[in-house]
Amino acid sequence: MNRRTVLKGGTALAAMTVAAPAIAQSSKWPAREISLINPNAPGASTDLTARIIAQALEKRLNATVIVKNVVGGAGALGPTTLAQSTPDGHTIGLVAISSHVAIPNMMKVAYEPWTAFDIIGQVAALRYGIGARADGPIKSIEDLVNQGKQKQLTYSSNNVTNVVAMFQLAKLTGAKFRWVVFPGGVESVTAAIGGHVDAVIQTVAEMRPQIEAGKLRFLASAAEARWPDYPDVKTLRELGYDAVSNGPFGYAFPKGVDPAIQERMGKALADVMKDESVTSQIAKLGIQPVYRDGKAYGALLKKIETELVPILKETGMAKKA
Amino acid sequence: MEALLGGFATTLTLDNLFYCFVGAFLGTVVGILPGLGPLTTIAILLPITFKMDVTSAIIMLSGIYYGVAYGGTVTSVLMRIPGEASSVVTCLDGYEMARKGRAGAALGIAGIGSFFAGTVGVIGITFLSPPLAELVIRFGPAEYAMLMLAGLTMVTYMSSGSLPRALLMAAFGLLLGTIGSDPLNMTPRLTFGVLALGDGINLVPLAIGLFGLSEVLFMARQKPEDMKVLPPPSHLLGFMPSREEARRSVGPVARGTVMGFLVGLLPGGGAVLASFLSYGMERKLSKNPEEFGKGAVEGLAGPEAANNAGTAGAFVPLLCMGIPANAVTALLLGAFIIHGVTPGPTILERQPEIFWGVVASMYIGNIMLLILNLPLIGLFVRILDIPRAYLTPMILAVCLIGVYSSNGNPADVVIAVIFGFIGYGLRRHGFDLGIVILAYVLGPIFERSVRQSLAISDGDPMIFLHSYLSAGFAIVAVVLMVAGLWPKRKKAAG
Repeated sequence: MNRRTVLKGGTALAAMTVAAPAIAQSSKWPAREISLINPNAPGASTDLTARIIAQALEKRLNATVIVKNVVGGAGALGPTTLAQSTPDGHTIGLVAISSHVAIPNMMKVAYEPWTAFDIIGQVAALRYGIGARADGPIKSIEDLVNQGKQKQLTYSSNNVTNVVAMFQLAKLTGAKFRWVVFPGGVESVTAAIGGHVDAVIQTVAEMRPQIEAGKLRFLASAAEARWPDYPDVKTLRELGYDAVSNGPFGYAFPKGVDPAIQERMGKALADVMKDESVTSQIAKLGIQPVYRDGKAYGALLKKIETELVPILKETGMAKKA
Repeated sequence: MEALLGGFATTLTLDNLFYCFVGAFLGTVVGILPGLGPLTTIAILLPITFKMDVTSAIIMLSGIYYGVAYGGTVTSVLMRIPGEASSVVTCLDGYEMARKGRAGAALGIAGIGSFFAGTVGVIGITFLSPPLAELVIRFGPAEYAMLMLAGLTMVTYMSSGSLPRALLMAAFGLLLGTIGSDPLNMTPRLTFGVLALGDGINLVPLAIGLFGLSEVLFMARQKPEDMKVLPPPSHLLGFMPSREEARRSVGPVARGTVMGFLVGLLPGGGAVLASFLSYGMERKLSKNPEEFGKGAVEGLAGPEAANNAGTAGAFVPLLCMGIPANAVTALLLGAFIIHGVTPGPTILERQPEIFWGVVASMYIGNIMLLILNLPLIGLFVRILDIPRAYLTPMILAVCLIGVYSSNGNPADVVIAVIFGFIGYGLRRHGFDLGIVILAYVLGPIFERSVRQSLAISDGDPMIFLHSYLSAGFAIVAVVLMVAGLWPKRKKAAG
C-alpha cells in the first residue's frame, strides 16, 4: 500500500519536473551531449542503426551523441525512461511499434504512447519475408496455404510485429498456421531449416545467410515491396494475398521540446538520411533506410495499431483489462 | 591446412598482431572487472572499428570475447566475485583454495588449463566446423528440453549437503527463473507490477549478490583472528601448482575441454552449462567428493577448462551458421555484418581469408593470453595481502559498480543487495548457492523448450522422444537421476 503511494508520488513529481523546464533556450541547443535511448541490447539491429545515426548526427549538430541502451522491463524501460526524461532536447530515443502499440497493449506502462512523445522521424524499416526448409514439402506460398488448409502448420518467429502477415494470410485463406515463439530471429530461422517448424517469418538479415547457402527457400516478401537482393521473389500482395508485416523504427523527443529545437533536429535527421554513406551502412544490415518526418511516421504507427491489436487479443498477449 | 597457413599469414602482420593483443588485453581487463562485461566493451568499441580494416576489426573484437574467459577467473578466485556467469563455479573451489594459501596455484592451473582448452577448442574449430554446424541444426525445442532436463539433474551431483536441501535450492533457482516475461506470450509474470522486473532478475546482480556481497557480509561478522588467509608463496614461480595439484588437474582439464567444447556449440548458455556440468562430473568421479567446496583442485580445473573450450565452441555456430550462442556472440555477429562479412554456411567459400584469419588469430591470441596472465598472477595475489579492513569495502565497491555498469540500471543494485542478504542467510545455514544459479540459468530454457515443443506437437508429449537426439538425452536424464539418488538412498536405508 505504502509503496504504491510512494510510487505514485514519484510519478507525479517526475511529471512536474518534466513540465517545468519546457522553456528551453533553443539558441543554446545543443548545450551538452545528446543521449539516444535504445531499448534493445547492444548488437540488436536497432542498436547498430542507432550507432550509425548517432555518428552522423554528431557532425551535423556539433555535439556528442551517445547511444544509451536502456534495456529491461521487456522493452518497456526504454520508452518509459524517454517519456519521463527532461524535454530540453538533450534526450531522444527509439520509437517503434514496440513503444507505441505492442508494449502499451501488453502490459501496464507509465506513459500514454500517443501523447508522451514529439516524434522526430522514421529512419528505417525492417523487411520481412517468409521462408521454408529448402528440401521440405513447401515450395511456394500456394503450397503453404494448401497444406495449411489440410492440417495445422507451424512457423517460427521471435516478435509479434513480425507475424502480422501470417495472421492476415491465415484469415484470408482459411489455412491454419500456429506461431511458435523463439527467443531470437536467427534461432527462428534455424528451427525452420532444421525441420522443427514448417516455415519462418523473419527479416532479410536473419534469413539471407541460409538462403544464400541453399538451405532455406525464400517463398515471398512479406513487405510492401520485393527485396532488392532478390528481385524475382514476389510480395504476398503480388501473389494475391493482401498481407504485410511492417517494421518501421525512428526517433522521438519526450513531449514538450521547444519547437525550434524540434525543427533543427528534424532537419538534421532528414539530412542524415540523405547521406549516401549512412544509408548504405544501414542497408548493409539488411534493413531498409526509410525516412518519414515526424507527422507521417506517427500516422503510420497509428495505422499499424489497428492491425496489430486484434492479433494481440487472439494470441492471448493483450493485457487483461 | 593450407587455408589455415594462409590465415596465419593474414594474422602475422604487425597491425593484426597489435589488434589481437589489444583485444586479448582488453578482454582480460574486462573479465577482471565484474559487470563491465564484454557486451558493453564491444558495443563501445564498435563505432571505432568502422574505419578499420575488416580482418583487423574482427580479430580485435573476437579477442575481447575469448579474453574475458581468462580474466573472469581472477576475481572469482581472489574475492569470490564472479566476473561473468561462467565463472560462478570457479568461486566454489577456487576461492577456498585461495584461503588455503593456494591462490597462485589456483590462478596458474586456471590459466594453463584455459590455454589448453582454448587451444584444443580452436583445433576443433579448424577441423570440425562444417559437420558440427550441421549437428546444431538438429537441435530443436524437443532436443533442448531433454538436454536441459539432463542438465538439471546435475543438482544431485553438485551439492555436498543432503538431497532435500539441494532440491530446495534448485526449486528456489527455478522460481527465480520464472520471474519476468512469459517466454511464449511475453506478458509480464510474477513482476508484481515492478517495471524493473519485467525482464526478470538479471544474472549479474543475482550472481554477484549471492556470491560476492554475501562474502562481504561474512567477513563483516568474522572475528579478526578467523579472517587470516594463509599467505601465498611470494617467490617468482609461486604460481606454479605443486606436483600433486598438477597431477590431479590433468584428468579434469581433459574431460572439461571435450565436454565444454561440445556443450559450447549449443546456443543459449553453452559455456555456463559446460562449467556446471564439468563440476558435477568431477565431483562424481572424484575419490574424495567431500573435498569439493573446500578447495578441491579438480573442482577448479575442470570447469575452467570447460568454460574456455565452450567459448571457443561458440564460434562454430557463429561463423558457420550465423547463429549466435549468447548476447556477446550476437553482438559480434552484428559487427561482422556491419563490416560486410556474412557469417554462415557460405563464409568458407566466399570469405575464407576472414574465417581462417580469425581462427589463426585465436591460436595466437591464446598464447598471448597465457603470456599476459601468468606473470600477472604474482601481482594479483598481492591483493590478498591488503588488510581486510581495506579489502572488504573495496570488494563491496567493485561488486556494486560492476552490477550497475552491467546494464546501467540502478534497480539491479537493489536486487544485488537483496540477494547479498539472502545469500548470506542461506550460506549460514549450509545451503549450496551454485545450485541456485544452475537452476536459474537452465530452468527458463527448459520451460521455453517444453512449451515450444508442445505447441509444435499440439500437446502430444511423444515429441520428446521423436528423434534419436532427444530420446538419447531423455535416457541420460533418467540414468543421471537414478544414479544420483541411488547411493544416498542406500545410505539412508543403512
